[in-house]
Amino acid sequence: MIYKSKMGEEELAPVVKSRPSSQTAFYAILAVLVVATAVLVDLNYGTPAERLVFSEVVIIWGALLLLYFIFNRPFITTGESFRKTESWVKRWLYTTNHKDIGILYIVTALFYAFVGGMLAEFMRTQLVVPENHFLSPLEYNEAVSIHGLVMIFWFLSPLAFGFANYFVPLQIKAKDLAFPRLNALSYWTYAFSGLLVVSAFFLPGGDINGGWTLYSPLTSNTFMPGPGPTLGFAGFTLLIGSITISSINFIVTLVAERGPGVTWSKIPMFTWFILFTVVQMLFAFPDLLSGMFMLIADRLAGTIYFTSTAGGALLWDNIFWFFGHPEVYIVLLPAFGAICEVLPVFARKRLFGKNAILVATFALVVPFSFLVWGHHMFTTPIPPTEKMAFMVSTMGISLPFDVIVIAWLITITGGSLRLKTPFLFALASIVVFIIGGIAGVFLASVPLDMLFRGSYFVVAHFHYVMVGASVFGLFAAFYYWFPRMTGRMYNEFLGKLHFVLSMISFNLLYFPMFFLMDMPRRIVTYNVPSWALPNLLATIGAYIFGAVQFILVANFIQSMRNGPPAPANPWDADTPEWEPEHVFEEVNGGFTTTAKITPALGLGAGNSPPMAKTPAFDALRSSEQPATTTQVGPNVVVRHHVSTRPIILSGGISIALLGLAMLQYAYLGLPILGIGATIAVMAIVGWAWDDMNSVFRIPEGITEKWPFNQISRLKLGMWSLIFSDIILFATILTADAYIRINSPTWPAPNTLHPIVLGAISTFILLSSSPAAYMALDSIRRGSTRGMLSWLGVTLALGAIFDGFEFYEWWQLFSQHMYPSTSNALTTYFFTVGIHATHVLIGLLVMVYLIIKGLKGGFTKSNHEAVEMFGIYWSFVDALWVFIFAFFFLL
Amino acid sequence: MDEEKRRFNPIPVWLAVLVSTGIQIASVYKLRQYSIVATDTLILLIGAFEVTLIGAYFMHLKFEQKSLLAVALIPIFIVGAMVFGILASVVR
Repeated sequence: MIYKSKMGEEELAPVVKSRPSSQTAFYAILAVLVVATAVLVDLNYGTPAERLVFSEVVIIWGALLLLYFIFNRPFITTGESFRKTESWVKRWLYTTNHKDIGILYIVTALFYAFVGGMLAEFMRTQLVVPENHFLSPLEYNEAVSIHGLVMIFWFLSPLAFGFANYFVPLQIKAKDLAFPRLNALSYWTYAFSGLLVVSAFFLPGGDINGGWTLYSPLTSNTFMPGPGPTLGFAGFTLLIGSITISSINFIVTLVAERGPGVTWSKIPMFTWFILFTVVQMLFAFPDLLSGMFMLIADRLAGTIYFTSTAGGALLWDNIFWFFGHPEVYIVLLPAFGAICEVLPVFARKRLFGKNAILVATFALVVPFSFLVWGHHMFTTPIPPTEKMAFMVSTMGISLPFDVIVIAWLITITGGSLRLKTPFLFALASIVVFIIGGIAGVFLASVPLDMLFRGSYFVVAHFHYVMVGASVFGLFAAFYYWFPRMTGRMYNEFLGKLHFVLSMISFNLLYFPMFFLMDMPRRIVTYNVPSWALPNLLATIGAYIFGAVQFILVANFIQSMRNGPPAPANPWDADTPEWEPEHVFEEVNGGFTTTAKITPALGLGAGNSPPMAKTPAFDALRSSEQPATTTQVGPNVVVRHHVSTRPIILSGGISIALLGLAMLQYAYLGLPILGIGATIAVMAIVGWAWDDMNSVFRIPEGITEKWPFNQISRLKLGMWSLIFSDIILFATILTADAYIRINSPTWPAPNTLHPIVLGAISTFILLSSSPAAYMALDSIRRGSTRGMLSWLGVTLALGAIFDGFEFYEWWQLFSQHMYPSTSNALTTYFFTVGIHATHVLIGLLVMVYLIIKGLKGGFTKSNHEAVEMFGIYWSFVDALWVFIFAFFFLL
Repeated sequence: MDEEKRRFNPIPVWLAVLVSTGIQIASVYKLRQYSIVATDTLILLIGAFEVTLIGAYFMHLKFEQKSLLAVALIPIFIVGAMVFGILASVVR
């Protein structure tokens, strides 16, 4: 299909002249100076005062670099220059294509699985015999914590989202995700965030060592000092940002980018389960994000959310587990989706009870996942009535899973089974899920949970669910879709060997832990004789389970290179990802569209013959983005749209976070922070420049959008962002209320914060919303001047509001009142600070809109960005209504 | 929806929001001495009214498809569950 552009020729990407080499040289010298100065500081050259001066020099160099970038745009390149590029490395670094990013996610997730797996092997080695000293207590705690975090957040979910990236657009016949550059940004922030967390091992203080649940106050500076843990928390926070962006992208894609004819009833099960997953992600992760912000503020800014008795451990427990239980399903549901695809294909029967599965998941699992978190806190002093309520809701949530499992079993019963590797892993996933699920029902009971909580019984339960059900389900997906991704068949013998050994070693590893129900988890060593045998068996199982995963890797590498060519639809599946897709191609110098199977890896041996050839060069030029090309067969070149911004932005943010973590401990922190921030700002400016000049433009196509037919892609994205932001602020204000209720004293209205000052700033901010609306109304009538004037008014009002907030901060500081002074000040500084940051972001967006407006970027018919800004800005105003009431009036 | 149908006069909405804020502030000075709970409840209810006005007009929810409005109820449900659950654990 040709994606005909509705735009005229005047909206084509502008051609940018090549920049002179002298500018490049200047830019390079400046960068070298920044690095050299930073290294000098790092070497502790000179006295402390001199090192401080060096730091300042780096900041100045960094500022120069920023100014140079803004005025000379050294990273701005044309689409033409990319079209000439056939670099393999550049393709993977700059790609925004959903298949490429899917592959990147899968490969990166496997890398992190190796990291997390090695840490698990260290832990099991430590526990293989009583009184062992292979690891020190701190090293053991680090291994436990990072193993859990990496496996859950950098392996399981990202692996599932690798498949989602690759196959969801194919299954709904979308040409890509709704926002391809944001998709690339999600991937790179994910990849870099993991590196930050892992690299924290090598910083002073070591890595996070308070468990994957990050229990407070273990995570405070008192018990976990040093830049290492702070960097770990910063990396984790960056990952949450990546996940939030990804959730929004998938939701908008699934709602608004479905191809013609792909109604809701025709969506395959895997895609349905990805939709359920991203909905949970959108609402669960902002809660954790606000918790991480508070945690980092406690460590760096002196707030006392989790170190005071008013907040403390129970507040963190509530915030973490409100996110934590949905997270279990976030990890699990994509595997369920894959199982729903695999079972009917290999049983040669239709999936039994498809609608029942969907209703059970969407109507019960998704909402109930937010109502059961208290069962993780049965041993804490929450009220007994609340425990009873959570016990009932937790037992209730097991019912929809019964529906799902029964539907699967009926599907395969009486089927004409093909015992191929994908089917075997899907079956294994169901078996271990049933075992893990039944163990979970025990933990839903308050009296039994009091007995099992904190023991290896819990470890066995959640590994049966998370590793068994989820990983085996994703292995099934791996084998099932391997021919589609590579154009090659895998080795069936090796696949079955991998299955048999995995199943045996998995149970050898985890089943003995059910018998260790009296052994506390997280202990570094033990001297109870009855624990020795189960631990020995578990360790042997761990070694075998780890080793056999290399069969999977070897099988795939070998099959990708020398496997037999895969037929176009090797499993006779009837889902759309196996149908020929329509792609732009360059054949012998001319552009055509053809329908064929195009694996992102391999030689495309399973290509079906071209179904149509249409001269499409003009359509291509007007609707596609800057592209690289890849040779996938004789005379056949597939185009990939690319952008340098995502990787540079992610890299910049990561460097800045490294500097932030080191800020309190080394002079180098500030320059690193400056360099990272400079790079990030450069990328953001480049991104804005691209948008302003329509370099990377994706026209809205004709898509199925019911029930949001009249709502644009951008607006759906904006509202999704606002929904997640609602959860973020709700968590913060709930934490504030929690601390307030728990505090013995709280300042009465008009004592700590003058009402008059708050009232004036409130009136100013609330007046900016109508101003933003007037800007939109002006451009709707075709008045650019009116729009610019009202945007200017909004900008001024917003800036004055932020000025008032900073004035009040300054007033408090001058009276020696800091975030650490009291609970009231902690909540005030943090909450108002987060809100002021939202205002600041709005101000920067306004500057962008004004510049674009001055360049004639908005017209009567093209002004969506102004409308989106108005929605965001009014949302920020609405938030302030509650913040003003909480701190000034109540 | 037709752009023309989405236009409205923002001044009355703006005045309603400002007056509501004024009532909130006045209630602190005039009502709080009689009942803190009643005053705080009133302030929160007026705040909810202000947010509804801002959402309906300046965030254009009044002019959007009803399906978007329906979806907007999801975070409200989740926020309700969170606030109730977390604050319930403080009450002993």
